[in-house]
Amino acid sequence: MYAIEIKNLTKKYKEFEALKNISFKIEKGDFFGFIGPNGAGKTTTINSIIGLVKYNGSIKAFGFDAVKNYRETREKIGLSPQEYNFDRFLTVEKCLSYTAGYFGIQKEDAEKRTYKLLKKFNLYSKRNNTPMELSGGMKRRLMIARALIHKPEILILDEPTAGIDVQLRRELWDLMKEINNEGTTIILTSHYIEEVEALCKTICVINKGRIIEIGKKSKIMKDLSNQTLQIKTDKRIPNNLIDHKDLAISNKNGIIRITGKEIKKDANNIIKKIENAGIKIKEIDLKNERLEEVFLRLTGEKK
Amino acid sequence: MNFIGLYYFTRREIHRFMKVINQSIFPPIVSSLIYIVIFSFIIGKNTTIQGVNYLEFILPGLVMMAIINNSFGNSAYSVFISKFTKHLEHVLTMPLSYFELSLAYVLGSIARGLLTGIGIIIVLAFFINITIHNIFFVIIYFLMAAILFGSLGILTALWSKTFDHLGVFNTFILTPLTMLGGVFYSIKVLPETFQKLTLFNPIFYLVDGFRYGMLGIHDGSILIGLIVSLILSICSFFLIVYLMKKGWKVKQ
Repeated sequence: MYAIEIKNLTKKYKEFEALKNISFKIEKGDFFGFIGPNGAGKTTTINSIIGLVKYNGSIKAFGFDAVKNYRETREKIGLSPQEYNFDRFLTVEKCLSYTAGYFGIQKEDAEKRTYKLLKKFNLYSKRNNTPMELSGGMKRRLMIARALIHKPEILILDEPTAGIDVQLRRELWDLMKEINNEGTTIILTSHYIEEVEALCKTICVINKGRIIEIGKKSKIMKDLSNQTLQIKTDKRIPNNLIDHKDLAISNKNGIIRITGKEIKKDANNIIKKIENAGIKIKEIDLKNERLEEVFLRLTGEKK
Repeated sequence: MNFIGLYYFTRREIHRFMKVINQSIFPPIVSSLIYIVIFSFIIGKNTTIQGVNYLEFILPGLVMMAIINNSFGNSAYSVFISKFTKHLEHVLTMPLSYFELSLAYVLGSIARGLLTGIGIIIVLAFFINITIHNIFFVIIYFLMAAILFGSLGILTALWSKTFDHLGVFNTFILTPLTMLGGVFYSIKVLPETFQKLTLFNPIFYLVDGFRYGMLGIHDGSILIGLIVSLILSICSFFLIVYLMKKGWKVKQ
């Protein structure tokens, strides 16, 4: 059984089509990265799963239909949304214990879970403050703690590290990894491609309401990412020396950059050709394209 | 039924208004006291209506007016602030059914209406002789008023986009209907046309029935009043459950 199963999901806001018939599945225990530019449809997909928007199509969480079995679906999911949506009338501690109560958890158990999460997320000393009195990083931690209070099987994190400093971001990454290692399926949306690259096992690239690419991170990187071989020489390499229709070549001022898939395999031949032409090689560098560059290329942001 | 969830959400609603007790519970008690003081000076303690002392006559009206205003204000501000701060989005991702959610909001309104009503009666007991003619009518009319106006408060909050919208219902509908609903007078003193018009005001039936429960006197038909109030309170509550389920003005 899949953690999430989405079939033909379509969402229209008046004339704007936010999601155009998307379908995908998320395996149990996966760390699923959802990336796309602003307005791509990431938050709309998440809000559809959790029941905050009306949609056409079918969404199931562990086999439960998100509309018909909304109660069961919500019990399976913990959501940390992009914007802070705390209860302004409750303290940090009550924010957690009351949320546990809404999930039908008995008082004693709710208090135990609250204590454990306050300790784990370094919020215990702030338990009597209101959430809006916390720093940005603490608010983020509280959002995630609140999403975990009912021990959900799926944790949805919508831009969890937006607006927080690098150190705190790294701390949150460790926490996310730990939660995923404990067996919780995580769906992460982020603007930081570096974050998705570092954490996720599966990646889904969405743009203008359509899925452009989806698959295991290693496979996506293998299938889609390019390599660039950069060679510095003592003089300009003639243009006809290295010519291949599948390769992108830039040749300027004694630096030749050859970009293509698995260029590593051709590197020896290229080097031999240059040496045989009597050109002296000063420096060789082989770079793998990063996910960020793949993403920009896929979404058409990088020409 | 998620009873624990319902309990916690109702508790949250009560916690919310108790946290702002100086804005929620005390003001209606103070204003009722001021009404009584002013009327006792202006009209005097010996004026009677339908054989009852005037101050005793207006007491059920003042209590009902406070119940109506506070049950409406409680759910209206709670839902609207939740909407404004996006907390409502968090609430809507909880495994509470739309019935449970609506019930918790209305129970919050009932609790605030009850506290305010009891508060007014306790304070005014120092100045006025308090009588209960029929406790069943007192309780049923209190509940019907709190459910009806608690539900209307939710409706107004869902509809409102700004704080200004929230005030529209209060200023242009609730206050005139309450003031013209026989809180301070018997409709028998009105010209016949206005008497007939008053019969279309649902607040009149709530005030009249509540007054009957406390003093044993009434202007309109108790049976019609009971039926009208019962139908309105039940229908308004289930309208809210339906709108919540549909995500009216909340889900895009």
